[in-house]
Amino acid sequence: MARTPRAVVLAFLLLVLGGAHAAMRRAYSLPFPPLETLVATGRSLQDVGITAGGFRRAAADLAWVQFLQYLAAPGGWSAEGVRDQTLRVTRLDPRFKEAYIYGAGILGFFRNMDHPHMAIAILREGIQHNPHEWQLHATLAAIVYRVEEKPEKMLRELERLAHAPDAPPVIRGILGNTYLSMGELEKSMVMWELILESPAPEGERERAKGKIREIRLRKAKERRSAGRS
Amino acid sequence: MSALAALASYTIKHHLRHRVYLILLIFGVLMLGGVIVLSALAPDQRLRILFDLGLAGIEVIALVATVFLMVNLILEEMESRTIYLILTHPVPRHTYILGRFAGTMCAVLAGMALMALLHLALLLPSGWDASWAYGAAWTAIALKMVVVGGLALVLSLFSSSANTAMVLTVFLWILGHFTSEMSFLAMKSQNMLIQGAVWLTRSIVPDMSYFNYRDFVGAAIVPGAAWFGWLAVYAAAYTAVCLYLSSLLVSHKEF
Repeated sequence: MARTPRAVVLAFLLLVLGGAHAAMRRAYSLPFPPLETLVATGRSLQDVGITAGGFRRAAADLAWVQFLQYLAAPGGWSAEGVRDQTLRVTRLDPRFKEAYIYGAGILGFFRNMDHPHMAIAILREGIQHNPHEWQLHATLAAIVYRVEEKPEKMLRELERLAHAPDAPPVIRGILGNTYLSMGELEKSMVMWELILESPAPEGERERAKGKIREIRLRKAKERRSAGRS
Repeated sequence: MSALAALASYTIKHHLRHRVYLILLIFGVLMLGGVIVLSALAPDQRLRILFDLGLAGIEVIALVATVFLMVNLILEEMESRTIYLILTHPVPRHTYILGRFAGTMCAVLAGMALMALLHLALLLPSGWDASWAYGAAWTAIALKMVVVGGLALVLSLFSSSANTAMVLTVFLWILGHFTSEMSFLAMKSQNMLIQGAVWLTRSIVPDMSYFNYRDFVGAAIVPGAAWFGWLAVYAAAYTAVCLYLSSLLVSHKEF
């Protein structure tokens, strides 16, 4: 006699459970690509281990810190290394737009790198996951203009990116260096000062301080030579 | 009702005096301190790291506390025979289970709330814009802990060994984060047998990935209120099934 109500209660609970599970899955699909898309690096065990615990964004954060350490390490970087480190972060968290911009910025603009096609591929992947992030589109446009040798259009896109409040310091650095090579010292100075005002990584800040010193020296030299003439 | 409240209140006091609970709380505070150091390594993403790793830290500590306290909850009483003192009173066994479970969860959630306050005390002065998303993420973690608590309780009564129950709970926790991955692989395999096994596993194991609201915060499409409602219903139903089975196991146990 007592068995029937127990079975009924259990059946009811299981029915509610199944219904809620189905409704929950219908209402929202998880925003992460499957694990097989993760980039295999020397730290794959760390990535899979943290993801197994359900901490996908935290795994991307740690990968990001390690990416910055990779860039700061002595001995130089390789284009493949920068690409893999970028994709390691972004495959863990495809919404990490700063990582796409950072990696693509280095690959697309740094003189010792110069792998715009790798940068374009990274940004295209970023845009696929974040179609409404204008900064990804602008970075892609700037790199494409650079490849097509249209410097005015490239500078316009970089300016737009660099003056956004949450602009990645790498973009400001790229623009600062571009202006410096063009002899636009004032415009370059603005970029380095913007980096110092923002919470940029220590390496970027040191670089900005060095560039500011360099610009001041060049200005003083120019003034001296103008005075002599 | 008064028996239930008395049991829950007794359980809360018992846990708050428990050395392991206090050590875990101290460890949680230290972990939040560690997050500050880690976030300093990436200054331009400091807030993101503080937010993510802080919530992850709260969840890890809450998980350890839930599994440890819940697995030992009734097993310790059975070993020390103090369970007789309670069951000699006119307390139905399902009330006993419910009261002990509710008390343990209140203690865990109180610890989580304390750690969240500390976490917010780190976030707010760092320039973080207070958002309701934090509350939603915290609530989703709390719901996850309630599910884990129910699971740990039923497994402890089923296996009668604290170590086995703890290992099984953690195993199901990990498996619960792979349910969507398993579905993806089953879809690729096209094998009916594998697909059936995955469907069965997915139906039994709690779908833990859906409780990770903290991971959806930066997503282009954030889940809506209806999803949150279904998540709460799912957590409540899963826990109710676990408590129901626990109650059945206790009522069939010979003390």
